[in-house]
Amino acid sequence: MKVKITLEPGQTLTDAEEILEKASKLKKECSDTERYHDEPLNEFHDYVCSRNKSILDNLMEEIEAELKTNAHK
Amino acid sequence: MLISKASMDRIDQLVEDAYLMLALNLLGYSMISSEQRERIDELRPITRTALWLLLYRIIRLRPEEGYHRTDTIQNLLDEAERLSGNLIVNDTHIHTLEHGLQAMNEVIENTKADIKKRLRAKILEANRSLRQELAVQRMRSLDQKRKQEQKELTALIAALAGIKEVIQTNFDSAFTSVLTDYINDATMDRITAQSVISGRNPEDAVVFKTVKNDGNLCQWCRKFYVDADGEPVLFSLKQLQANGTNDGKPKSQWKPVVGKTHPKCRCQLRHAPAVERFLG
Repeated sequence: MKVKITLEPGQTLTDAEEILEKASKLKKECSDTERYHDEPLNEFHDYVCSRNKSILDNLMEEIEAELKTNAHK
Repeated sequence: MLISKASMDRIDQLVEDAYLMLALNLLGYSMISSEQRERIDELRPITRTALWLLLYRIIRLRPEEGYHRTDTIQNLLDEAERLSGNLIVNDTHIHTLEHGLQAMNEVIENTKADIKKRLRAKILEANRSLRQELAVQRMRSLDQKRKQEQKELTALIAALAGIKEVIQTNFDSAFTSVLTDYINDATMDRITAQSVISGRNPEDAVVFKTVKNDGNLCQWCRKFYVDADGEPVLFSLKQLQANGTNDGKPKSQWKPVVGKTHPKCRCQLRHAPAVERFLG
C-alpha cells in the first residue's frame, strides 16, 4: 500500500510522521479500553469479564495440578 | 505417554465444571442442560436471569429517572435478586431477554470448546515431542528419560499462561458483542414502547448512537455516527432496522445498524424525542 502525504510549506518529515500516526489510530477498531456511555453497563461488563478471568485463573491452577500429579501415569 | 487419555478427560471435566458455574451465575438454572443439572442439584443455584432483567430495566430507565450512579455492582446484584420474577415484561421484552441469554450461552459454550481444543492440541504436541525424542535415543538411561519427560511437562505447563491470555481476550470480545446487541435491542424495545404511548409510528422514531469520540474511536463508527462537526448523526429507526446486521459481512459492506457495528463495538443506541417534537 502506498500513502501520499502533501506537506504544507514549513512542515517537516516529523509532521508527516505525526499525520501518519494519527491516521493509523483512526483506522483502529474500537479498543478494549473503550467504555459504554452508561456506567451501570460498564460495571456489568467489567463484572462478567472479571468473573471469567477469575474462573480461568482457578481452572488453569487445577489443570496444572492435574498435569503435575498424573503425568507419566 | 506423558499425558494419558484419562487425564485429558479429567481436564475436559474441569473445564466443564468451571464454566457451568459461570453459566449458572449469569444465565440461571433454565439454561442448564438436564445432565448438567444432576451435577449441581446439591448447590441449590440462585438464578441470575434477574441480572439481565435488571440490565433491561436500567436500559429502559435513564439514569436520571431511576438509577443511582453511586450504586455498586453488588447493589445491582442484590436488586437483581429482589427483582427476580417481579419485573413485568411483555412478549417483546421476553424475546429480547431470551435472545440475550441464548447468545451469552453460545459465548460460554464456544469458550469451553476453545479451551479444550487448545489444551488438547498442546497435550498432543507434548506427547508427540516426547515420543520422538525417546524414539531417536532408545538407549537413554531411565534418569535421562525422566529428565526429558520433566522438560516436556514444564513446557506444557508454561503453555497454559498463553492459552489463558488468548481465551480471556476472545471471551471479552465475544461478550462485549453480545452485550452491545442486548443493550441496543432493549433500547429499541423502549423506543418502540415510548413511540406507541405518544401516538407516533415507532419506525419514524429519531435515533442516534452515543460514541466515545476520542482517539480510540474506530473509523467505521466515526464515519457512521458522527458528522463533520462532531455532532451525532440522526437516523430514523426504520433506516437502521432496514440495514439489518453487519455480522459475517466484509467491512466494505458494513452499514449503520441497531446492534453492534462490529466486534467489540460499544456504541449505544439513543432516542431523540425532542428532535421528533421539533420536526412535528
